[in-house]
Amino acid sequence: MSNITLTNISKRYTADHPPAVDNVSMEIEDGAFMCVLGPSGCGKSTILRMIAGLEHLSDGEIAVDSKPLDNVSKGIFIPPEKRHIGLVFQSYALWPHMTVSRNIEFGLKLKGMSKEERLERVAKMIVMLKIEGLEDRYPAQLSGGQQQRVALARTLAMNPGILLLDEPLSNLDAALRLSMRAELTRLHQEFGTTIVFVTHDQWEAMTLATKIAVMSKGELQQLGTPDDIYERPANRFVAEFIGNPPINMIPANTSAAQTFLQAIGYQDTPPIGAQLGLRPEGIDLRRDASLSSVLATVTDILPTGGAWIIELNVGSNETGSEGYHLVHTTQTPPHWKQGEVVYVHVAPHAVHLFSAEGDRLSLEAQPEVMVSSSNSELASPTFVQTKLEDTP
Amino acid sequence: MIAVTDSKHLSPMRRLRHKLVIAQRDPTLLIGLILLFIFAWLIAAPILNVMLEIMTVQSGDEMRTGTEAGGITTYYLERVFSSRMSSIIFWRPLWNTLMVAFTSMILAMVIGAILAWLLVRTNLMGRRWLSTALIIPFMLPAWTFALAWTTLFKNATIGGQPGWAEAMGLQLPDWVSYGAFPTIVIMTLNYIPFVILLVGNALRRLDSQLEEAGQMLGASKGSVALSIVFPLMRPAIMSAALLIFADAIGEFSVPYVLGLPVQFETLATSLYRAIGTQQNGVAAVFAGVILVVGMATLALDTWMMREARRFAIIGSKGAMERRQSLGILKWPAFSIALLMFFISVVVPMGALALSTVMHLPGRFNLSNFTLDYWIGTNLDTIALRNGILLSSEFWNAAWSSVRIVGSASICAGILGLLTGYIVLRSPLRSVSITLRQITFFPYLVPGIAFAAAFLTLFAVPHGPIPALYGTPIILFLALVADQMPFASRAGISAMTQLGSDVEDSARVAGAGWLRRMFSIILPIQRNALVTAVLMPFISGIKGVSLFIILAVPATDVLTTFSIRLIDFNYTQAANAVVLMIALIALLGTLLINRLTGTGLAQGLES
Repeated sequence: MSNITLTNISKRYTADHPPAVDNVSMEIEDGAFMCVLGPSGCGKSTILRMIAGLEHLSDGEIAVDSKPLDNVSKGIFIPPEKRHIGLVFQSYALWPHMTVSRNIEFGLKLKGMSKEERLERVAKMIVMLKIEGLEDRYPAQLSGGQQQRVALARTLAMNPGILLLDEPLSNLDAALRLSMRAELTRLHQEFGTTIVFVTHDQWEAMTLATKIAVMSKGELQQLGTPDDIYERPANRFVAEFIGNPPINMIPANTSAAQTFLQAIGYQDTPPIGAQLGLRPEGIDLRRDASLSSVLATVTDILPTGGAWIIELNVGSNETGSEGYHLVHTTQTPPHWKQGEVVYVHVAPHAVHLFSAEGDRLSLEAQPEVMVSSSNSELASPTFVQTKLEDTP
Repeated sequence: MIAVTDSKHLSPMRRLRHKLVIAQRDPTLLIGLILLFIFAWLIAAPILNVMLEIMTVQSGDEMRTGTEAGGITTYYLERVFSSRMSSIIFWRPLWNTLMVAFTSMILAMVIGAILAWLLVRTNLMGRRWLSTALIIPFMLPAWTFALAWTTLFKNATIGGQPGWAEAMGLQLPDWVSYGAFPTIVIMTLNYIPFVILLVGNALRRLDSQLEEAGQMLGASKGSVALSIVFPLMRPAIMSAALLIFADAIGEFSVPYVLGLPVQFETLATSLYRAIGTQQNGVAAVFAGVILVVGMATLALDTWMMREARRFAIIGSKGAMERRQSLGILKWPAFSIALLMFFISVVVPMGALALSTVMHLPGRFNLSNFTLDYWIGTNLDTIALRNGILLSSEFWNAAWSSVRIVGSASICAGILGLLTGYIVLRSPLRSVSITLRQITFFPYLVPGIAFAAAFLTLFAVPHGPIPALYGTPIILFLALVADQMPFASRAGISAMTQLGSDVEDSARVAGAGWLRRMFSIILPIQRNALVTAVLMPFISGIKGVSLFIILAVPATDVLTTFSIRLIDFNYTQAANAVVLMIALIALLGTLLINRLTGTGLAQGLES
């Protein structure tokens, strides 16, 4: 119900440390389900806390619906208690001395809502978040999942235009994560609230968000849909951060890399220091050689339950060097043995090229390579963990 | 993406304006500054003032110094440090102070560490019960033991009723009855519980897997103790030793009760005497010396703690507790611990209690027992003709004790919690560091020196503040300031445990500062607040130093009342009053322990 505009925001805690957030700008549209993703210490939680008003800016502006909440140059700061933004803390931060109903009721009381209205709203929230029967319990008597539901109920009861979530699924076990994920998606659709959440967990980001902002060292690396981020990583950091197991990186000047580049029709000479990225699931192994394949040795096969990780060594016998380590994932049972020699083929969408500085180099405007029918598995880019989604 | 503006080159004025707007929305900084102001006035100003007094000519000393009152002089320094009198008035008391403090510190450390180890690391019989029982002396005023000593071992050197030993026909030499020896014994007994608490806590945190790892690698038990346990315990041991030493330097009541008959003076008693004889300049010098020694000791402690942090014990999370079997030493160890309990609790308390129901000391026949000193009427004494429980003087003193100490403790507790809040939440680090240090400062200043400092500052009117000497207000203020170390430590540790999320979530829910305080922080910290009030209350009610200097007959409290009874030689009544003080202190401590589990140990630790 609200859009958020971050304009060149920065946060510096001390002068002698690099900024926690460095000149980040982004537009979070009305009704978006936005994720700020990055490793710990990348500044993502700081961004969330700055939107909530719990931290103030060192530079730039945060505005909601064009109304500035925090603007350094204009000297504007609206305190968090006046922003009417919902925030669910990673620790849930339930008030330990209040029962579940009192926790939910507290904010409504501050709004000046009448007793009947409050009770009605609390009852509605309790039903909606399926925490019936827990009304009179204290937070210490609740499980982690229940606490999170209460924290959500407490925030949603205020009917905020913007909902901020700090690592919403990270403290939950696998089964709860799935049901909570479904819950959050449903709430998003039902309320149409603008949701921003931060996480270091790419699975959480990919499965929940409609848009992802990838952060590193306080800087915004890429902003895009989950597919954008995965299929067209803006730089080497994004490519390596997203994907599990991580993308394979080999120097672009090796003969193996050259072969892969030619296979997808790349004609130029890659610049010095460039790196070739290969998604593990975008590799196909075959028994027969072709012009566009590279010889490899299977070094290890690791079953992960329904999927397999195959570790390969490429290029070791070329010049007596150690060669390069490649990881391949597949969901069909592998018919290779350890030590067996195979030929590696790549699918065009799985290949990425990055300059020595880490920027993405275009492989486009290159003629598409024919994809043979035998590797239909490569036709659809599969995110390795998507299988988790299928289980109810 | 929006083009980069040159926002990095904003003028400092703009940034300042933004900061001010933020500060205006959150009273944390403002409250921090107010607290700083209060403590500057209550803590820093008196101490600075006493330092100035050292160099200032006092009224009445114009002739001696040849300068008019208020001028600058080195007369007092010379008189104390380098005059013909200085060996008597200063060097001898200084030697006595250091000797007593050092000896009792060493003795307490050795005995206390052994007891701590027995209680925490071995299968000592009855250790649960003993670990409470052996702490009891800590809850009692130190001079209770001094009075018990005189009750038992007083000889004929001074008049009044004889001690029990004397009454039973034992002739005791002066050195047993008075002076350094009994002072050291009493102070040692009083500090042993402190060592048990501090060293015991450190031992409890020490993962016994560390010892086992040593043993697995082939080290003998002896070399494990020497090369693993002792180095890891060293910070706690050193810290306990220094805290005891700093406290012992300023101890007043024990040498006052035990030293007087043989002119055994320490710095604290000399200071008291100097104030009593209107030598304010000399008193300021004594206060200054006590201050400097105390501060140097605590500075050493801070420095050592910083060193110690370099080898903070890793992985205390999975700490295993394994107790060593005492085997053949089971009975001897138990007897030693039990003996300690008898020496430090049963004998002194028993002697005091019995003395209050006996006409003549040390005679155990039925006709000698009486309840007159508690509930008698029309006694044949000059003053105090009723038993203390029936005398209005006692109840007045008790009431004003509770009133003055109580209100000061409530005030200190609230200030302590607020200090904890600001220390953790202040947007300016400098404010939180200064607050943390200034509230701990009175700990460095022995009570007697602090009282002297208060006297010099508040005895005369300053600006809008009238002269406060002789009013309960000066006692109240001095108590608040003196108790801030305990109160602020309790507040800081409580707020550290709370974390900021709980308050932040209330903020996001729309609660302003006052609302957050009253609906979130205070209800959650209810127990911490009670501790922050009760700790100062106990320490205040049993304290002597502040009252003996700042109280006047109009503001009589239990401690000054009982000291007056001692001076009048009403031994039984004095002991009865002291027992009542001990009872209040004991009940209060038990209340804290009930409320917080390990409140006492925690309060000491942080």
